[in-house]
Amino acid sequence: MTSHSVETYVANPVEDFIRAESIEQALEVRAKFGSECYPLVGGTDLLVLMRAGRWSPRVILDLSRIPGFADIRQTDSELVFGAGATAADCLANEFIRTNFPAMYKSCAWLGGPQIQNAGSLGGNMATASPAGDTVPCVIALEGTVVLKSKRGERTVSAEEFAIRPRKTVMEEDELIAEIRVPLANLASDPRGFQPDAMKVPKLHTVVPRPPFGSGGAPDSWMTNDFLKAGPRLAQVISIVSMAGFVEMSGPRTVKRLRLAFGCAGPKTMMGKSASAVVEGKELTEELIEEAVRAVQQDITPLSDVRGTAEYKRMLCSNYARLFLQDVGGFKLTGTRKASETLA
Amino acid sequence: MLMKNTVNETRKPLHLRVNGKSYQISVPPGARLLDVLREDCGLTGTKEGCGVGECGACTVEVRGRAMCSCLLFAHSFDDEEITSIEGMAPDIQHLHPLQELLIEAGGCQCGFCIPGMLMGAKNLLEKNPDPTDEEIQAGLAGNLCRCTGYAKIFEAVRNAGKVLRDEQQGANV
Ligand SMILES: Cc1cc2nc3c(=O)[nH]c(=O)nc-3n(C[C@H](O)[C@H](O)[C@H](O)COP(=O)(O)OP(=O)(O)OC[C@H]3O[C@@H](n4cnc5c(N)ncnc54)[C@H](O)[C@@H]3O)c2cc1C
Ligand code: FES
Ligand code: FES
Repeated sequence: MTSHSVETYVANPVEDFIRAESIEQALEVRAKFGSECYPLVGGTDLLVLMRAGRWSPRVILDLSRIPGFADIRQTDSELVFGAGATAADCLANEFIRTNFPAMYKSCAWLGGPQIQNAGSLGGNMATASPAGDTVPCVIALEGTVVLKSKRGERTVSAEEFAIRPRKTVMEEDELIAEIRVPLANLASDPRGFQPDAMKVPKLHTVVPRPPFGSGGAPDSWMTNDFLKAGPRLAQVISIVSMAGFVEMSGPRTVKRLRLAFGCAGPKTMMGKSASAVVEGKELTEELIEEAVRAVQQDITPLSDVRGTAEYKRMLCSNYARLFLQDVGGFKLTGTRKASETLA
Repeated sequence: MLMKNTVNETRKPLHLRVNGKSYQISVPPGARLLDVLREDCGLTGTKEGCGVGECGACTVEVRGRAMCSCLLFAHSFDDEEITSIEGMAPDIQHLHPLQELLIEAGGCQCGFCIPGMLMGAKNLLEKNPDPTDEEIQAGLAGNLCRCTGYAKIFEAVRNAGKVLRDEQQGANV
């Protein structure tokens, strides 16, 4: 057996590596080491940040082998993602493709295939980056995060989970066990039942909702979608992203609208003012423009290497417009210049 | 088990099975799978391009899936099976169809991206044996090549898909 000097290895000054074989064992380790222990699933954030010298954990707690930790299942009322479920697991799930196109699309372009095979929804949530692509999808659908510790279990709304970049409500001894989304918000979605459109989904625009059949729109229907801008499709951090969810009570009457924006503030930002504009009303092209302007009140993007604040503001409004126009069955008028949207 | 000297001298025993061969070694608890494959197992086919998950040169197959070994801890895979590029060809006389057809298409220039590209392509064809051009692009989006311009690589993947489908059909007859 050869023994190499430490210079052989990219220095990860970690003192111990514990691969948990059960959630109970993981919670013990977490309780013992607290903030010095970093949970690990795919490592696609952890190793990048360690290499950049931003994180230096003393103990690595590997969760990736805990039986059932990556399962995706349904209860009577919820779609339940084990925190270890990867983007690839979501893409292989038929229910997600048909009923949760937002999540499917965000996973289809999360990094590249290798990153999708490794990166987990729990890791995306815990990293608490405003650019985490699956996070707005969970928040727009009013999902929750289930946290476990030796002390017990609690559920927090996904919207309240992140406080600012890399800061969450999770305590030092807690782990994300599950991410849940109410099934009531995932009723059959006209968008998802288009296997061809979903194969290699376009990110910068909506999956066009198919026209309603001869019977017209059902009395009550809902849909969700995800849009993302990046310098290329794969392997890029979003410049801006948006997950949209709408519940309708008629062909054009909005009951509930949830718009969740990524990279538009210190955490996922909710377009609450836009919701207030359209809820209880029938969508018209004028009303959509009013909602699109209202989006601007709820976002606080900063200028950075990926784009100026003005550019990001423009994208947020354009995405809200595309989503609402498609929901209402209006012609997609495409994107507008910043000067028109922000006036 | 944990040796409590200075952090850097800590070693932890590890048993890997790489391409069917067993390796009983002892490496730092923070060691990346990439370094262990190259330095401890002597399998230098797996390359490090970027070290941060962007280029795919370090792609290996673990738990039946292609992943970037620069973003994996070796100790995650204690007692597990790993396939690296050295395990792709069935034996020394016969290359994998992807390898054959890549040579035939002239899809290899400097070669640095190729081990990862092949592992990525294998992952793609296993999931989707008959990919469209768009699906090949998406399926290899995690592998960067700075030489070839991709056209000949994609051609090799298309052709290999066909060969593998024919083989599969032959096996089913
Ligand atoms: C090349 C590349 C491209 C990428 N592209 C995208 C992209 O397009 N969109 C996107 O959103 N992200 C992207 N990412 C970021 C990353 O892949 C995702 O955030 C991924 O979901 C992280 O999951 P993971 O399992 O790898 O997390 P890990 O790296 O294992 O963990 C991340 C963090 O979460 C903590 N953690 C993990 N699981 C738990 C848990 N169950 N409980 C408590 N804490 C936990 C860890 O301690 C760590 O702090 C990219 C990364 C790379 C390297
Ligand atoms: S070296 Fe691992 S992805 Fe580039
Ligand atoms: S052949 Fe040189 S990088 Fe691909």
